[in-house]
Amino acid sequence: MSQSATADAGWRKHLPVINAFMRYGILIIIGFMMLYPLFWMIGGSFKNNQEIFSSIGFIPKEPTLDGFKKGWETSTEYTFATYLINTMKIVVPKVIVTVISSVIVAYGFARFAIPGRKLLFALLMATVLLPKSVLLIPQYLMFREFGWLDTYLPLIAPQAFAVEGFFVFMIIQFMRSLPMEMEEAAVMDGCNSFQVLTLVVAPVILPAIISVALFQFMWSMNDFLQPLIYLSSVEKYPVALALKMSIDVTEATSWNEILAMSTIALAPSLILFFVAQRYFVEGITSGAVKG
Amino acid sequence: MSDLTLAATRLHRRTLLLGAAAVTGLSACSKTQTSSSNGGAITLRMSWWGGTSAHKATLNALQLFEKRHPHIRVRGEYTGFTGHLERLTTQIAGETAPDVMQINWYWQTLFSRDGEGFTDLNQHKNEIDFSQFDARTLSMGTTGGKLNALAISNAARLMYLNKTTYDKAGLSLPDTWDSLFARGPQFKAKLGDAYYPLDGLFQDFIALARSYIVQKTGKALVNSETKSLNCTRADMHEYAGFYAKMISDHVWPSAQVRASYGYLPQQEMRPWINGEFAGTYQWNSAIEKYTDTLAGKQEVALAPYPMRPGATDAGLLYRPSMMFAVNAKSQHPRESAMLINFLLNDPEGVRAMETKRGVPVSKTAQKILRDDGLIGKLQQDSEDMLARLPINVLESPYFEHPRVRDGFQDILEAFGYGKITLEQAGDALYDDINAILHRIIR
Amino acid sequence: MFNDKKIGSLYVAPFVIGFLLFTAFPFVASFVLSLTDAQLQDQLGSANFTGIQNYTEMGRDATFQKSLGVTFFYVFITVPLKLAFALFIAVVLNFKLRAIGFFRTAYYLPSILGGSVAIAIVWRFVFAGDGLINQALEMIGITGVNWLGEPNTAMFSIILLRLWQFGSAMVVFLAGLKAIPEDLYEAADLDGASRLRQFWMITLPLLTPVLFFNFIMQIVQAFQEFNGPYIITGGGPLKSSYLLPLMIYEEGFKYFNLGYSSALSWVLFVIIAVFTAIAFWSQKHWVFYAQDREDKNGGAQK
Repeated sequence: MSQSATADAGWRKHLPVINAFMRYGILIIIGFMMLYPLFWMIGGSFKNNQEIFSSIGFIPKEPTLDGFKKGWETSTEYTFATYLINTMKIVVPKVIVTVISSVIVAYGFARFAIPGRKLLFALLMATVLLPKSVLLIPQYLMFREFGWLDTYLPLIAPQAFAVEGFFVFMIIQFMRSLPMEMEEAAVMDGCNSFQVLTLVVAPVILPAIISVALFQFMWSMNDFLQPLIYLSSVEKYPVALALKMSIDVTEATSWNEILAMSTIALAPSLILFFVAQRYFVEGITSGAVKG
Repeated sequence: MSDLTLAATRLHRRTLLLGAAAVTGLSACSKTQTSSSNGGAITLRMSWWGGTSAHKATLNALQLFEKRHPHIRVRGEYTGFTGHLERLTTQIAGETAPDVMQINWYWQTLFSRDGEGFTDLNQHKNEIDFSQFDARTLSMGTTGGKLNALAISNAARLMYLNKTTYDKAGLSLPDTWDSLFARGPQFKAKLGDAYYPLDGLFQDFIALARSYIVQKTGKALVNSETKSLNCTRADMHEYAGFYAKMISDHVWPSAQVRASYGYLPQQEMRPWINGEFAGTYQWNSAIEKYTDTLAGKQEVALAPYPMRPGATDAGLLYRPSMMFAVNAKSQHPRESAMLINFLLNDPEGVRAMETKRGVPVSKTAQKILRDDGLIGKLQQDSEDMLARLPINVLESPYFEHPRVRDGFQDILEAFGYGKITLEQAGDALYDDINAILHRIIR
Repeated sequence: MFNDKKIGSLYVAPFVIGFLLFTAFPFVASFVLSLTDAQLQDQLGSANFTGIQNYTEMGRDATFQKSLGVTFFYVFITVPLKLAFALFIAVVLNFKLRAIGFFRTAYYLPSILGGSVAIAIVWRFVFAGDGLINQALEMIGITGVNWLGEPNTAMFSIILLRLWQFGSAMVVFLAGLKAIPEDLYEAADLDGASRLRQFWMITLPLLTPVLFFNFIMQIVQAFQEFNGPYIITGGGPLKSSYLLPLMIYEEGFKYFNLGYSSALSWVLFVIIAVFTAIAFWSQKHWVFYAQDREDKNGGAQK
């Protein structure tokens, strides 16, 4: 009995190590499953077409840098840099106006007794629920009347008015889960509602706001159909369009170029996420609530 | 530095243009409209889809055209194939389509059912040399007496077989339907279950079976006047039987085998890449896309086209693979026509475009490229075969309507999965396809 | 909290203006289109008004009924699994471990890739008849399954694809976990509550607003799932993975049947709206809003 007790104690002594080992083991195994397509994509950038489609292994047999060189040159008059810059010209303003407008509107919904609140909220949800493809043609006609075709305005301007119900709804949910003590205290200290929003509420829900920015950034990077329809000049294309420029039905496609450029196009999102995710660890959140 | 040169050329062009305008008093200049007119110059918009080399060749040709006609600028609005039709459709619905458009043959039924959807190119006989085009090709761009679209190249599906695999099996390429049927069991016996003498998507099979039936009837399969199939119920039973035989005889992989690889183009399937699915019934314009992915050194050869005994027509769906059309509302139809002629008939334009859109229809263009040695062996073999084969039947474009194609596919698939009997499949092919045709042809 | 209706309206005004300016017209237009025989390529004015014919047509359309059934199956399987999975991973990734930032990024990666080429190709490799899963099964002596080739199993490849792309739900959970004040856990530690008990008594209740949000969004996204069937199975075999959004897209952009496509969209819209409405109605039974509790207390004190 004493023997088993010692054994038990010995085992327990190593518990933290075993525990960490287990945790990292699981994290790494699942992480590998998650990262595999990225590895494959990077590997594929160095392969030729038949190897891309015939092997799931990611180490190329005869690696070549052609994919990156030719992919960067593109099949157009412009290099891939143009398309990366174009994408940023669309995505950055889009993210900024989305965040600002969504936070403001959400605050109105979450904290104010406004007339027709239920109806407005229902409309907000309706914008989330209706399949987007059905709106495409009417929206196109509308933006034609505005004279906005072949500009970035159809892609950006609506976002300044919080038309993406998804983000507003998300921030509303976070605001509603907050205790009100701090805001009430701020009001007693003489803050007006806007100061309460910017000084008290916004810092506390920063992780949510960052999530909104992240989602909008990544979804806009991947958006294909909208830029395709609204932009006709090649010099204005974003990356999502440029990536599919050389895929044709009759001509052989250099998939390594597409994979190589997809990898490069992925970098901004990956870096942004890596930088942003730390706000989910030790955000200003906990400090603010305690402080 | 290069910016400076560019500016200088622009300036130069402008003076040239002013001079030209003053001398000849080009009517088009006075008509110049909103679309970015700089100093009386005309800007044409041209849209196309394509791959890397098609883009480069076309841009190159457009530059040469601008050099030739300094008062005209052409803005290329090009994309890959994905989404191109969606975009063009939206533009046409929104009346913002470009002046010159590359279209597929059957898109005429979408955008110009009555012949009014595009400019009638017959009005531009002075700009375009139509004598380079045969009557059949011209008729396939004509609706209601209006020449809506001009073919860049013609294409038909032919049988391209993996000679390396056939050699491995010690078998010759089939030259009749019967020898094709015989290759199934022979492949199975010599190379094993994984090997098939011919393969393709449902859409490829649907075209192959059409050819088989048309060789018997000698008529187009679809009659757009009567909005129905141009054959008997018995013919459709034979159509279904053809599929059943191809599958049971191991000539064509079954629906289950094909689907196990997911929804992907044939040239991206491992069995094709490795030579196990040793053939394709493919457009001659696209065959290079298929040979491109083959692993190692494998050779693809054009097989003799199988003919039924007594057939008077090969039953090929021989039609324009890509066409140029001019927007009916274009402000510059004349210049658009000039551009089309430059790309299709002018030696400079032809040399720039090469064979990136297939072997050109235009006689002069074909001659130029042949003399320059720019037409590959497989391409030349295909052209020669198409010239030899009896091809008289004109198929209705509605045969290529996606709804019709999917109608065929749904029935064959249901039969392939054992959901319906052969008898039911034959009936469904006749009844359902007729119903679909009736619905879509307006 | 604030009762000033004017200022409140001011905050919401951008949405109202934006809705009227950008969304209202397409909304109404798409509904009107659903009552016509409009073709995608024609001028909209040339369409004929056909009343509810498009809607009655669905009663006869076997493809629609098949598609509807498949869609419900997909939603009912995917939503609970994905929520559970995303929550589990979020809790794990909320640990204060070294290099956790790297793992968070890695786990989010599949979601960034979206419907890219790489995903389509790799996923087909995994599920192909001679693919990774079957090779693994054969190693342990089990005969492989024709995953993509059989109507019964093709759907699973799509469901798994979506489970694997759990990133956005996970991020929302992570943000929600961060909003839970740590002193609650400290107090629970002092009381000697186990980790599991803390999860049930503290984490989960405080996370319900976020859970509710994710629940709604997952329902909406699942009903609107398009990429999976589009890139992996093409809706087949035998329409076994032909989800409604794919059908809507094909009716509109492949068959050019804009009227019918719009009608299908509105049916889908109503279905999602019903589910969402039920969820909203149910939330008073299980969603815990700190704000409301405060309101009640505040009200009582006054």
